[in-house]
Amino acid sequence: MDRNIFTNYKLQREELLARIAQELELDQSRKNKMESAYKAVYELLKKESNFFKDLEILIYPQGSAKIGTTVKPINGEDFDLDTVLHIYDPYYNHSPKAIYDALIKVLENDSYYKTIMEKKKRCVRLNYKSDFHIDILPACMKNINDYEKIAIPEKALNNWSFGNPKGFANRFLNNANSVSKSVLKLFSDTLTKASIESEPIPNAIYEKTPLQRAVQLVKRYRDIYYQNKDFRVSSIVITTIISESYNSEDSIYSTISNTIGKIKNDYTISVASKTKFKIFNPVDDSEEFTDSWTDKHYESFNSFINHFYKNWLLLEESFEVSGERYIELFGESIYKKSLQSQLKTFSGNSTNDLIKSSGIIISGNGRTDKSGKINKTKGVKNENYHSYGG
Amino acid sequence: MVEKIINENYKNNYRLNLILEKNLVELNFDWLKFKILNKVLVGSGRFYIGQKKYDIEINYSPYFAHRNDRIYVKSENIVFDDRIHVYADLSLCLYHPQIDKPPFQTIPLYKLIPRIIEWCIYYENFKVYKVWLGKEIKH
Repeated sequence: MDRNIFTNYKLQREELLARIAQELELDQSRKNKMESAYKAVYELLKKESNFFKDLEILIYPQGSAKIGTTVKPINGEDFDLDTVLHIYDPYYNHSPKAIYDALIKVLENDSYYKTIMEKKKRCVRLNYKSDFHIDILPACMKNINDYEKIAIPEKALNNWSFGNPKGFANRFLNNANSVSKSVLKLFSDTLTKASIESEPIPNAIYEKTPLQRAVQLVKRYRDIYYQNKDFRVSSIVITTIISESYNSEDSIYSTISNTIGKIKNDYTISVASKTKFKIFNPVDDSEEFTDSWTDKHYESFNSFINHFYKNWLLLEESFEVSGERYIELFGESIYKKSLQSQLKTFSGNSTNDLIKSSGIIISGNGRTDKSGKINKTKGVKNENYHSYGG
Repeated sequence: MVEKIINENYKNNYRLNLILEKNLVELNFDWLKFKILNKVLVGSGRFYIGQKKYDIEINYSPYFAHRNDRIYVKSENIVFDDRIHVYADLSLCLYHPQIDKPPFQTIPLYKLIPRIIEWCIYYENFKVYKVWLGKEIKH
């Protein structure tokens, strides 16, 4: 495999897309904080001496945190972590209100949680100062001996609904791992074997599968697209349609091109044949994610997919043609930051003076020698400054 | 007020100051040559990034409005675009007037020379990626 990403646009694009998606993730210290936070709630519930005393329970993340498709919220909003408080006891042994109230009671009796707790319709939100919140959804078993399906308090706590977040996550991860070896894994192996002298390769960038990265990137565009629009397409819909259209593609680019192309095509066919375009929960086909969609929702979905796909196809072309599409799809600052880190990491291996010099000045290690050549050792130290005029 | 006084001092001793600026640049960079013409330090030179040449023209004087430097890349057909950090006359913007300039002082010309090279590198990258990769403060 060609290791020089600056002479291979497809490889550079793929690596850049992974960097952009990685930039969208929460940093590890934030992830650790969140994990400690829900584990602390679990410990508190385990110590409780009434309702939870003889019950087997577990708190675990569901949704994007579980399947590795988290995306930092846009405009500095709080990140929300969805968790399930799974009570391993069949729902018919309890009332919806009883399990909800039991959770509330434990938190209200604690001087700390009392101050950060917020009651929601069917879950409890804990608002932490470190710009994140955790939603805890209390749930029982749907069937005895079934440790996946859950029964959730619904409708003013008078009823139950059913879900299967673990099953959904397992199905998604099975799809994601169906690729034999991704382009970036292969690239990463090549770099490791060649022991290339460069900035350390941050392996985390290459660990995720093309499907996970694809979901992150489409969600990012969703967040940008819907900043001033209503009828936002939900994360569960984006995740489901991409995952269910995925065919073990080995790159992020082909994953998005093929899945979004297929979805766009399916939508067009359903409109032409005057049948309703429906999206079902892949682990429970009695649940239709589109059942509450109005015409406005459909118009919004169609418009979002079309805008995304039109921009995306232009990434087929070189940066000279597609550069502004990256900015439109993911935002300028994240595109710029990802390009800077890519140049810092790989410019040292390039034989091209422009690329080499770019990496040096972006890293802030530049000196300028008498002839005007940028280097790391000789000449006047390049100072830190800001371009401003224009 | 203090800045005005300092600028007046610079103007009063402009010849000595411009000679010092000239000497400092020529001491550190051998691709630029200068002369003093009508209270302006006028310089030009050529440097290379790889095989590509860049012809630079520098005019530097305390008698210019707002800033002493007027620096142009003559070998490039630059079209005004606020994303590439040039002024309307296509001279390069190489510092933020408040953040990067020491209080009540000017930036010595020799410290701007590496920034000319950097500007050209960022400009070449801009032509490819359509984004300015250097530190910037947008208007």
